[in-house]
Amino acid sequence: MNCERFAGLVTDLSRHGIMDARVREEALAHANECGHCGPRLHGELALTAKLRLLADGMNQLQASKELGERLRVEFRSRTFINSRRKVGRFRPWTTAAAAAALIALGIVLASWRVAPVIEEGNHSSDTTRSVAASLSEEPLPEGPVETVVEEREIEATAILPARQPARKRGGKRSLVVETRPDSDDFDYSEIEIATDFLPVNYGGPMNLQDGGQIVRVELPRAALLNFGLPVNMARVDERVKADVIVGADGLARAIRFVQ
Amino acid sequence: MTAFSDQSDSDLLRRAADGEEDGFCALYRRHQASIYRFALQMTGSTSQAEDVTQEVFMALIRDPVSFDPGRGTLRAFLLGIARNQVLRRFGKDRYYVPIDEEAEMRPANEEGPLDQVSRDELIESVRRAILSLPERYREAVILCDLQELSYAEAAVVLSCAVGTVRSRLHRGRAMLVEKLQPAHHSDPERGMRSARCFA
Repeated sequence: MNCERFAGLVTDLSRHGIMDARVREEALAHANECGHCGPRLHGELALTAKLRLLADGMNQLQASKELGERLRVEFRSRTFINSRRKVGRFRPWTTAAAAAALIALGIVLASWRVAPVIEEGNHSSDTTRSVAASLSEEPLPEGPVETVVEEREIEATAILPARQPARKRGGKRSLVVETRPDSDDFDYSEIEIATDFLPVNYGGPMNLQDGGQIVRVELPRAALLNFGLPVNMARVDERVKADVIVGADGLARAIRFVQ
Repeated sequence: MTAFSDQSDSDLLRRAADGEEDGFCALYRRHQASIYRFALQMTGSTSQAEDVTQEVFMALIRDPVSFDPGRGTLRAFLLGIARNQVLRRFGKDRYYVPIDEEAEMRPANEEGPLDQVSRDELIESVRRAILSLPERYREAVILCDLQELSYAEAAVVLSCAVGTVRSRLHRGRAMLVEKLQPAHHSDPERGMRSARCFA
């Protein structure tokens, strides 16, 4: 080992740092032989001892207790402020998420109400239009559903025994949703099977945003033919029940047949 | 409190971040002495050391999640904050070694009066020699030799490479050896100079 290499090791050597045992022995041997590196190593060892003495002398020193108390008070106040901020903090992403959820809910509800009618939008025929036209030659007047139906030229009879009456919402007629009666004496043998609503297209695109109502009517069974439905000719003289969606403008928009 | 002494720094820091006062107090008790001594050794002033210690833990209160365990220990992180605070103060007032605080820094021991005096003189000479070092060498000597940090931990505190720490420590110690040689041991303020004897 030469003096240059020893100079690079003397710090770790004097600080008793981790180093290879063989290198340490070589360095110590060089220090014993070299008149320059020996005193240097002794000087470094003496410095290490003095630094340890200083470190030990300051070992008991620490910050005052008053500082600890000040920091404790500060921590409490900061925690209180942070908790208040958390309560009153405006979170844009939360508001946006809530708004998006409301919009999605609205879309789902709207589609749930309209979807049965729209799905059958292309199933109409010319004969359907003629029947629908006969159903809606006159605008439906305001008032009870039974009155409206009695004025039809087809002499349809409105029968709404198990349905709630048309409800007013915001001054406009709203779509009557089929509901079950709450009374316990409801006869479940009268549960009805209905076709999907078949659109009556002469009125343009289905739009029930302004409200509407469902009117139960009875039609000649032959009317099924007008909508492309099969008819048992042996019972062609019988009447068949149907629900007609009437828009707020009084025009029939769709029809479904009930059994 | 004993339950907190067994917990890691990360756990205590998490508790402190959640607003648990006991967690913060446990962290303070664990690290305040080290931070205070580092600041005292760097500045030589107990009041400055108190201020630095306060700023370090105030930073921890303000932003407890700023510590990244992947970059080093919490002690190194806090010492890094302390170092920045010390360097900031050095820019304001570079010369403060108040004489009236020397007695407070002297360690109490049970040696005889003469031994204690010589020992105190030696410690004081070392302390002054360290304070006279340039900052970059001073902080390396304090962190590695007085705080007994590893090279890697000191590198985190100083935001430099391990090799830089080693070279600064090597140079700082060489300067200290030179300053603490008997010819330099006397107080330079007394105006004593070594003179060559031509006899």
